Amino acid sequence: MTKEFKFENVPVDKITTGFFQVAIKNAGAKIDELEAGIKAQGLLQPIGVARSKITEDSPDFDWEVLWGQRRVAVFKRLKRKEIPAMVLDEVLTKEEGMTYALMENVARREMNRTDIFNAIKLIWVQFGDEKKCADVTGIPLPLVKDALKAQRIDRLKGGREVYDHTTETCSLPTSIAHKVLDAVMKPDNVSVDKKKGKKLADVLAVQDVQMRNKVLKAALNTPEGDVDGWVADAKNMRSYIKKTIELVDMENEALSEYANSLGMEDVDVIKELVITKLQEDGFI
Amino acid sequence: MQIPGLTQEEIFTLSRNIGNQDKGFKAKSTPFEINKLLKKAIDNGTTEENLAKILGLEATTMFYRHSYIFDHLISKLHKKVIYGSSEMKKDREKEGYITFQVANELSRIKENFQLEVYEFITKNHIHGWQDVKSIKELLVINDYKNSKKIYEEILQRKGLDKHFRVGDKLDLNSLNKKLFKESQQDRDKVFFKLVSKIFDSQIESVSLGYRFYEIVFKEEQIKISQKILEENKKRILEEIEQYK
Repeated sequence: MTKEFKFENVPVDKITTGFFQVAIKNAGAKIDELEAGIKAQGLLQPIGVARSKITEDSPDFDWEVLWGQRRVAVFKRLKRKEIPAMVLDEVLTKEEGMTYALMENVARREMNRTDIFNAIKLIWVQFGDEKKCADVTGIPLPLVKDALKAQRIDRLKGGREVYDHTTETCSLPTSIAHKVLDAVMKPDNVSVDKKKGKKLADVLAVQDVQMRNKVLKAALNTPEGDVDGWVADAKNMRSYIKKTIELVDMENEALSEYANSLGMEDVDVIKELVITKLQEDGFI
Repeated sequence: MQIPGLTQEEIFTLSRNIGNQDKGFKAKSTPFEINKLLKKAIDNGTTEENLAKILGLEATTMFYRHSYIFDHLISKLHKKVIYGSSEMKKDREKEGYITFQVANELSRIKENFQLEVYEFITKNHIHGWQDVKSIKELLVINDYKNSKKIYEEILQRKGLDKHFRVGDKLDLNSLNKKLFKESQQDRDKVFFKLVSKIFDSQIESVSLGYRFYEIVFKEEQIKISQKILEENKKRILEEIEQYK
């Protein structure tokens, strides 16, 4: 069970609950107390989400709750738009999801990110290994990763400025802000290119999600490039699909004969026939 | 199996149209008809959770989606919505049907723009819900202004803007470090000159990225065999490599 969780702020209305839950009956218990706590102190522990059969079939929901369904209910009641979450970007079976839910229930500690960072700091400085931090302290790996990520914003030179520009000036989600930091990280690994980071955020702010993801993918593919080049790559990232077909001897010979009679190559005849038919029938 | 307010025949209709993806049944009713049955059941006191249980569904999502669509989609389009598994899908082009997921995205667009977007997608044979989602997001980002520009952008992205295109992958940094370091504008200028030597047809625009390139021709279709096209693509890479 060492799957890769990432910390993100997830839109509350994209989350559904129930499929992985082990304690649906008690989901409403003490919810008023929890609401009061969240109002007063914010959310101390991120919830856990993954993809499921339900979310895969749904255009409404992207994530299924692994743990923290009461916290989701409170966020919905408070009409909050986003909730901090440990995200496992994989489709889990019901059994896998329920195992995670159980594990988290057992391993839960009332610690916030700073507490967690303080607990793992020495081990992190010495070994630089997230798993080692989790193993030594007993804090679940996703929470260790979350705490380190939150600290990274301030640890990176220029990180906070780029992060705030992305989330506040450009109103982009925190998950995008972390990706922007990744994309504009300098080779020294301790600072970010502020100008490039802000320009990237400005560009992403006016794009739809599909194009945003393409620009970020282009940026991560060529980190030494510039923002305009990434946008060009994102736009050119079109699929030119090659299809393979199987023909029996007789069909193949007939095709070659036909192509010869037209003075064309076999593949050109196939393409022309397909396109003509699609045009005639109104598909293109 | 009993659902208060519904006849056995109506319950059977529900079970054959909702959550039938894994059962291999083709939907025979429309979401509009099914929504009426769902409403009838709920109005007669059945909870959504109970309804899901009776129909063997794991979640109530589908009920929520039905009611959202028909509460928000303009009524003119209600009867155009079909299920993705519907037998009516074969008449999609002729009748201007849209699938359930497309309708779901469309219903989240401001009412006075829904018909315009519907006409745009059906006219251009755009059937994917992700594209409608992109249109919706771009409309919101642009505060529902310049919708024509947004449609042009979508047509370009999908290669539906009546221009022949040639494109492929490359690794610009390995091919030519000098070009890699140029600005995007200068790269495109150089690339235009290089490809103009290779293709006889008139070129509208070019774009040389780090990992992908694209050439857009003025004409909708150019006469070029696959063999020559492959040769030209090789030449493009050679020209880029040799550029000083």
